[in-house]
Amino acid sequence: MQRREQKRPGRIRLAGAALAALLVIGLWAGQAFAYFTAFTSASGRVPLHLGVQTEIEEPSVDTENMIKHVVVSNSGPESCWVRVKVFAPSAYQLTYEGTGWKAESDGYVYCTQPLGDSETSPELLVKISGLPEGAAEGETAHVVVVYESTKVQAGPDGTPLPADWSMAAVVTEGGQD
Amino acid sequence: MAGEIRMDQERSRGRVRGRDVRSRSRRGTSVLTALAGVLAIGLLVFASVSGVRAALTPTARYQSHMEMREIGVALVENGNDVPNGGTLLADIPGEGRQLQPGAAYREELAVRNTGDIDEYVCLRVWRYWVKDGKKQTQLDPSLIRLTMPEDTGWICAGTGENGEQTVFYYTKPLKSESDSAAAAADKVTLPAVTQLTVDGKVAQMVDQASEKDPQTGRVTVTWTYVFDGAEIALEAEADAVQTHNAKDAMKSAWGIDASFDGTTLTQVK
Repeated sequence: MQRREQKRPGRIRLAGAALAALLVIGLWAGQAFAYFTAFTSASGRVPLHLGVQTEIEEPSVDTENMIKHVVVSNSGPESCWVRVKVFAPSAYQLTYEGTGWKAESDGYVYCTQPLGDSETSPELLVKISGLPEGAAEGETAHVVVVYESTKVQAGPDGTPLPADWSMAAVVTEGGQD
Repeated sequence: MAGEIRMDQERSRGRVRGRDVRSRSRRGTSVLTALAGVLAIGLLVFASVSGVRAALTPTARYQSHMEMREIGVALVENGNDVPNGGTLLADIPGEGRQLQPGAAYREELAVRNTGDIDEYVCLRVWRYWVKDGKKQTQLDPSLIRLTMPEDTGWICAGTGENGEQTVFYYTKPLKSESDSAAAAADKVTLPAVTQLTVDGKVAQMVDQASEKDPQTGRVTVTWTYVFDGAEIALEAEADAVQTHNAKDAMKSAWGIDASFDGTTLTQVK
């Protein structure tokens, strides 16, 4: 009998506590969701393609007239700028011919237009003169061509920016740099 | 002896009192039970009587019209509403073109009130890189540059530490779409973002390799860009809260402490 009498108040207290907790949760929940809210969302993606592959033909040499024929191809898919520099002994004189190429004071010859996907540059003719008189037949004249190319970057309006040669890939004639 | 007699008398009194108390308690319970019974019978009788009365009384139909108010918000991209779960960047880079690093593309993001009540709005924008369908947290989100002009009525709460999320709060309440007296310009925000540009630095993260074909003498130079094949991803979410009790509503919905000058939002923390 005593046990029963002790249990009843315990149950009542427990029920009271549960009711109180329920009321508190109910009040809190009511406050948290009492405001009008709305939301909407959207998303999108755009791929970025940056791959550039440039092919450089080993220049053919016209030994009779001492002319090197230089051609560069871009196998794409992105456009790139191209320039070349020719190194030769100081006694030699180098002259450049070819439309679409321009020699600058820094010693480089620049292709004036960027090469698009699968586009090949105009031919650049490098004439070598000033060979020492009396040079023996079979004697080698060391003239080396260095090629550089850099990806075309666009300005805010989408037009190509001037080439950024700090990012250039450099290849020396006869193999890689 | 006297003491014992007194004791007995006390005990005797106590017993008498005890009996009195129990007796009163029983009487009280009986009275309460009786009252409850009377009340229950009374209720039953009243209920049945009122039922009868209701049946006899001519019925009257009362109608009440309650107008349900709705809050609504739409994301606006380049002047067009984007449905919830819709697609952004659909017009970038343009038909037959490829995304160019350094080029600025129009990407105007604004918010419009599509509901029946005035509201305050906020705009959250996420930008990040995706490659092979997976988010690339090692690729810098800040290389996806967003132009955020000033004096457009937006408070830019800043960009998260990882450079991915930027949050904007519009300072003025947007008028409801159904408010015919309000100007159209008061129902939509100015763009918080106007342009998207992929930073040209993405083209500087590159590996080069060259290979010579001994047969033809051709040298092939290949650039491998870290960002090549990656996708720029942009997500935007527009949120709205009621203007009534806006401070508490913003705290509850957006978790911010807002300050106002009249109806103009001046500061968020």
